[in-house]
Amino acid sequence: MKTQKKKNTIWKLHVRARLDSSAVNGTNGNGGGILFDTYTAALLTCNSSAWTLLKLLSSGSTLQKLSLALINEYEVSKKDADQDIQNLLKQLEYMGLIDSAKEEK
Amino acid sequence: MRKKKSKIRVAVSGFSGLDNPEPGNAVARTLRYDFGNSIEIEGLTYDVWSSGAWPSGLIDRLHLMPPLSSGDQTTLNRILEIHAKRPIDAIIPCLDLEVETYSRLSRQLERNGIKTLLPNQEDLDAVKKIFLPYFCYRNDILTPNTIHVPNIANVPFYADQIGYPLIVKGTVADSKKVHSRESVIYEASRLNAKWGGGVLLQPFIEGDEYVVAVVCRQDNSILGMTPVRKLGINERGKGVVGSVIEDPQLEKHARTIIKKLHWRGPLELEFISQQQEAGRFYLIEINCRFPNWIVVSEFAGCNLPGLLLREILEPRRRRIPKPRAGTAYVRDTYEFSLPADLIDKFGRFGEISAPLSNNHKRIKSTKNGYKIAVTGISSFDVVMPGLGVARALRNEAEIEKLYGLGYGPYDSGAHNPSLFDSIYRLPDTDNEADLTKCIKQIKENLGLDVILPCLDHEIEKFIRIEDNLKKIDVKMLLPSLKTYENRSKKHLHNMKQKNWTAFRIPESMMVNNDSQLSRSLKTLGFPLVIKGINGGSEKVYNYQHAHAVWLEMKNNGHEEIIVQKFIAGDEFTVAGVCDHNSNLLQVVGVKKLLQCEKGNTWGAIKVSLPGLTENLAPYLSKLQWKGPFELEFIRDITKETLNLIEINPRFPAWIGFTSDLGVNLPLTTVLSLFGIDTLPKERKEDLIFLRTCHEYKVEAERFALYASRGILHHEQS
Repeated sequence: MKTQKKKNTIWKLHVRARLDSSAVNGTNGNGGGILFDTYTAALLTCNSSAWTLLKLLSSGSTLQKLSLALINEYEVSKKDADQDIQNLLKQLEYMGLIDSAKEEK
Repeated sequence: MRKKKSKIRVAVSGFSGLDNPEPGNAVARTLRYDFGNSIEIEGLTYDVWSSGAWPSGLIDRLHLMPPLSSGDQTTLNRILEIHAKRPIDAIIPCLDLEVETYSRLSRQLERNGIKTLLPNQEDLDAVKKIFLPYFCYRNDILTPNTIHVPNIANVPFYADQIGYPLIVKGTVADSKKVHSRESVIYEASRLNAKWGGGVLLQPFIEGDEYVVAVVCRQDNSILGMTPVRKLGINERGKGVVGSVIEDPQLEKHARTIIKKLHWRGPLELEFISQQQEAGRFYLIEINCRFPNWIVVSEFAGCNLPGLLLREILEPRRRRIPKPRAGTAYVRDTYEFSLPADLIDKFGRFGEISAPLSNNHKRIKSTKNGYKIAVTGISSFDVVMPGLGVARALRNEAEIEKLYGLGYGPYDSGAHNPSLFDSIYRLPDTDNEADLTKCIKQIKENLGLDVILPCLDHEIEKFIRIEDNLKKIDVKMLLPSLKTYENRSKKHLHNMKQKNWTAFRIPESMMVNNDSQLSRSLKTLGFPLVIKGINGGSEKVYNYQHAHAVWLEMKNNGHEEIIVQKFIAGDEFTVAGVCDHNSNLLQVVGVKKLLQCEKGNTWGAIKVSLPGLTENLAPYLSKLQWKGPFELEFIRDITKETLNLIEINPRFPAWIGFTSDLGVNLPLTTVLSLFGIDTLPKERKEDLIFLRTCHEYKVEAERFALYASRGILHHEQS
């Protein structure tokens, strides 16, 4: 699987992906937000944990950093956190919204 | 001394089309957004009923034009006649067939001081539907295989080769997706009769639809571009919801095509892209004018009609803003009423100043007023009555809050901030417990006094939960289940003439198989109306057509249909409301003046039908009716008898008109639930109701928000 490559690969959201949390937070403040694909107008509603990951991915992140962020912010095991990250990356990859550009030095 | 002319004066055409609007209204609105009051817009129409030209504040004057078929010289003479009274600076034609005419006339117009920016005849010919496949082949542009069938007798042969479903297109405009040989024969005949020159057949490509609006300069370079993905496509295949996108591949592809076109002025490119072939865009169509969704270019910050007008009047290099991706539009409706005199005068004199006000006065709602929820809030496929009910209640002082109850993110009314305070999504199931729970939640969160269900298919569900809602103090005014059943189409079909002297029931037969269909056609003759038990109807003219409609209805889940004798004549509809004791509270009758393809009323005038309305009270009392209703009639053109066609268990979609007339039926319904009589208001009799399409701006993220959370709030100014 493409998304299960090296740990230190940097994953970054494609420029076509736009994140917007204002509409969601304006409603009930539960966190989360909406990802908008500027190429296709596809929309993805994200819960707060997915949002944590997407914010990191917008500036680029390794799997390790993503996993740490989830563990620190939510009461999840490393195994569950890694599984959630794999699922999100797979979905983003399917939508063409993620790049695995380079490896961290 | 000659008065100095300070305002730009532009003539715009294309204001008809009803639910499939011609682009003129959108172009005029977009120009108005850009230039405000520094522009005067002269609306050019071919008939007085072009509803898109009448909304207040849009057009300054309306002018009747001779039909294009009278020839170029007649068109030119009429334009010069208008020009002589008030000089026109530019013309923006918005109809496909007009663009050719004005292109041919452009030099003569220019000599008279009227400017245009249009392609020449040769370039227009290249993009005509018949020649487009050749243009694509010559320029290596991806397009679906297209067969032009000039003789429609050959349509079944070619259609069978392509396979079903397929797209059948008129040579100028209009298209339909068809699923069978019978349907393709019928649609081909219809399109050929309308546009001539045969039809075009194309294999149906399943995929996402993209459209790009472009304006090209005099030197054929691109002045501005707005790419949109169609998000919501209705039954007629029209994109009624769309979002601006920013796909470099699509833009590059569009630029390549435009380079080959040598275009001047506005155009629309239509593409389809299969999901498994991301980045490959099939060119479906090129339209030589602005699309009817062009107002989204203004919403996205790149006003293309404004850019075009500036370019026409003062061509120079300008910095063009990029449209903002994610800005979306939703097509809803806009309803208003006009003095009947105005339309009469326009017809008689061929010119009129547009009305200044359409009697829309916003009244501040009271703090302790009623909180009302309304269902049926979309015009996606057909205009639902909840929109009219909301319009009637919106401006009433007794109403504190108005909530829209919808089913999906593309419910058009959900995005119209002038109608509703908040929108809630109802569970789309038959589970009554879920529905009760959802309403309970609204009651707890925001408070709720009354629900007015406005869709046929949900009335039964609401009747079943009426007692549950009573317990939480939410009121409704609905008939019993038995009464509800007694007014169904099936029951109406079985109803005997009995003592109803005021109206007749047209002869009809129930059909649930092919042999019954054949028998009904032999018995009743043509033309006929084929009706679904739970909605949908179509007029048919011959056996082939009847069979095609029957097949289509079967495909759409209709197991049984009603075949009814078609009655030729004027159509009337009577809306009213009965209280808890089945006493008729109020009733309003209108004559239908304009109907869309789906049969919805887009234009009407109030009429008094004394013979009928006097008989209605005992009829409804005997039926034990409670709540809103609509009765539809046709007055037989030869026998002058009224024929009852349908009884609907809710208000009609034009019900907002009753508030303009001073007999607000939705308000009467609400007040009657609290034992309050409606106070008489000043009645306005001589009004005409009109409806046109209107696009609202939405940030695409709000679709996702509504889909996931099921709630939307509008901030009321």
